[in-house]
Amino acid sequence: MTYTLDLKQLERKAWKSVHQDGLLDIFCGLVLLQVGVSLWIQHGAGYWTLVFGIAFNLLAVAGLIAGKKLITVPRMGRVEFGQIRKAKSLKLTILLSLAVLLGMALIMLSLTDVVQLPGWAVPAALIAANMLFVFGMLGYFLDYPRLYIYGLLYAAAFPSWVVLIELADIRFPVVSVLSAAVMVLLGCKGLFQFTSRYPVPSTEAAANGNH
Amino acid sequence: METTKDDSTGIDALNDIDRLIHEPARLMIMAYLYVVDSADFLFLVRQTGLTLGNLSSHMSKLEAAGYIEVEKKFKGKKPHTMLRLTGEGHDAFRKYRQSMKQVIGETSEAAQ
Repeated sequence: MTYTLDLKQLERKAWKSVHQDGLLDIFCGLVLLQVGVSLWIQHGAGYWTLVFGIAFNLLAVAGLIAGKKLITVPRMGRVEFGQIRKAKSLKLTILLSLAVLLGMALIMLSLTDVVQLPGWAVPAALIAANMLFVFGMLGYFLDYPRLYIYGLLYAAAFPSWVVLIELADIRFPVVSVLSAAVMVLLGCKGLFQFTSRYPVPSTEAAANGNH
Repeated sequence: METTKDDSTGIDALNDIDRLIHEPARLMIMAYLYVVDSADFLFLVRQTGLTLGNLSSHMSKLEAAGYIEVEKKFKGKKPHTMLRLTGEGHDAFRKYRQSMKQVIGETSEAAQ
């Protein structure tokens, strides 16, 4: 058996250790839940659906940031990654911003009836492609393969809702809510394991060692 | 260190290994700080599995050698210490890897 000190894997291990807290899974689940609820209440709600969506997502982002600050950092410690990770994060931010802007533009256009998209198949395919792109990027840049599966679940949310209405007149977004529940549960499990494995050390010791 | 004139075995190259880095705990610390920009004590404790006291003792040695710099900051009213490799530390670690590759990587097993 050979043992080699693989620095790339070591950096990856350090990176992953910061993201094993389950918070991202809970965040993804809550956002998908919002998508499901928005689909459910959108009839007659118009712009309020959009306002609800934006407000909920902003709260979810604030919750994720607060969770990292109050749960992850006090337990795992603080680390600054090198230039390669910083460049990756910048690329991810740019790509995600473009995808979110595109998605928002699509929703706005569909709400204002500026663009009449034929049937439901084209918008569903566009939204699904956008979701696959966003989660594909997230999974790749964050080194978090589970996000590829989440991307599929997000991509299936809108088409499955429409199909269920067309075929069985079921308006409740079953697929989105069930997928969201799975993500939140996986996240809670991860969070529980993380907090059990890494209790908060005494503040002074954690901050300074005995240095 | 003085080496013999005929070093056909390559064994004398071992004398060039940096003994400060060669100690397993310090090697782990150096390797982690080599792959990240900077980290605090708690992060290194979590990654390496060393105790705070043990880590602190090794840190002092690495800092004394000029391989690590300690940056003391305040997060609000709480003191916070971040650690990073110095340029000298980067060079030393790179040289250590190179030396180990040369000495161990080319080990002949003919005598077994």
